[in-house]
Amino acid sequence: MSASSVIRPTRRVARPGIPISRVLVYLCSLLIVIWSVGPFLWQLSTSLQLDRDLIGDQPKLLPIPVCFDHFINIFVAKSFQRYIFNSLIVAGVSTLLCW
Amino acid sequence: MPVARTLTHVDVESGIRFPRWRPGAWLLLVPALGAIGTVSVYPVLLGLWLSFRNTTLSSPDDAFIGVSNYQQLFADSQFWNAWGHTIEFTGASTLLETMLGLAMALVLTERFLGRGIVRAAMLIPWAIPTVVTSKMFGWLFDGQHGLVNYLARFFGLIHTNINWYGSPEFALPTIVMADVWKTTPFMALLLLAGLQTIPPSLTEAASIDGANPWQQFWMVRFPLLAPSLLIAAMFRALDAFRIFDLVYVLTGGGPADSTEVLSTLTYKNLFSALQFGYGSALSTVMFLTEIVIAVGFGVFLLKRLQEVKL
Repeated sequence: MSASSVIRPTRRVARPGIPISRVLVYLCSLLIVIWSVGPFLWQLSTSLQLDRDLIGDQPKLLPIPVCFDHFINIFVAKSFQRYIFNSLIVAGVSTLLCW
Repeated sequence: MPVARTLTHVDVESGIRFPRWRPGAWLLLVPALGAIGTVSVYPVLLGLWLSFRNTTLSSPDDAFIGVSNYQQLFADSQFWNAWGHTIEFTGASTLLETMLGLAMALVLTERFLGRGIVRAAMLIPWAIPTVVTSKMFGWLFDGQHGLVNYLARFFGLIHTNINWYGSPEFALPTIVMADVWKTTPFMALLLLAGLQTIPPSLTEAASIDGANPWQQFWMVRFPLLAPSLLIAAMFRALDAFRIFDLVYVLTGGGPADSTEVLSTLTYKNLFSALQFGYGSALSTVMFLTEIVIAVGFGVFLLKRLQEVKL
């Protein structure tokens, strides 16, 4: 009996190219990321823009020129670090009590 | 034979469960019962009690008036207006979030490179405090300088800026959109957990039998996911029904009461007008509607589970 007549279990061969379902999965996950992160990034960009840029005719996507005024404002003029600390206390204690 | 150390014992003949006299064990339950009693049972009963009185903090009125509050409530057009908005909001947001959440869960259950990162990114909206989300959507949907107006104009969807949450016809849909953005991750998370309880061998078997992905979903995954789907939708509906912060921060119930929901109306009656009696009647009606929603979903779920067993 020659070796070629032996029936071998067919092995799944990787198809050449990228199957369309893969492309679809990556496309959908890209949409999920844009949908979830987009508004947050816009908020971040807003926080770094000058006030006059924010109320200009055309919204700027990127904060150029970068302005840290708003951050200085909340940490120096207002004590935002204190509020973060307070939130940490509330979150920590309630987690401990529920645990 | 070891003695069962339970608080009840089952009568062998009748199958009825009787409480067992175990003072020590009951004593140990006192802290838990006390906590539940003071923070959950007592306020509900007090609310019910107040709803039959005309208690108003701004006047000396404090007498039992029977069902007058409820009569006034059912004749109050503001109440029905808010009730309608709450039902609309609950229906629209639950439906959209369930469908979108299911779609997201189906994508994120697949194996692909960077899945962990996408799953983490998906949860960002859910991790942002609701008040911040509210302000954020206020800025995104701003009538003059909002990004949404700009993008919609850029792509030619609209010609002039829309005053999203400042006009009666767009305000409620804008709030629904903000809620969908915020809460879809929660639904996706619950449904992802549900999908992971379905053994992959079942879809593999279906695939060998020649079922295409569409058939695999509707014939195998969807029926098995139905209980999770119903439970997730029930949680969402009950939660959406008491929507408060998103509305209160974004529109405050306006413009022209077009986004007033039961929670904001109750809050205004209780803490702005200080009408504790009437406000309590409002919150009692809300509570009863919640029970109706929960029982509705519960009955549907039980039926579904029985079908699966048979």
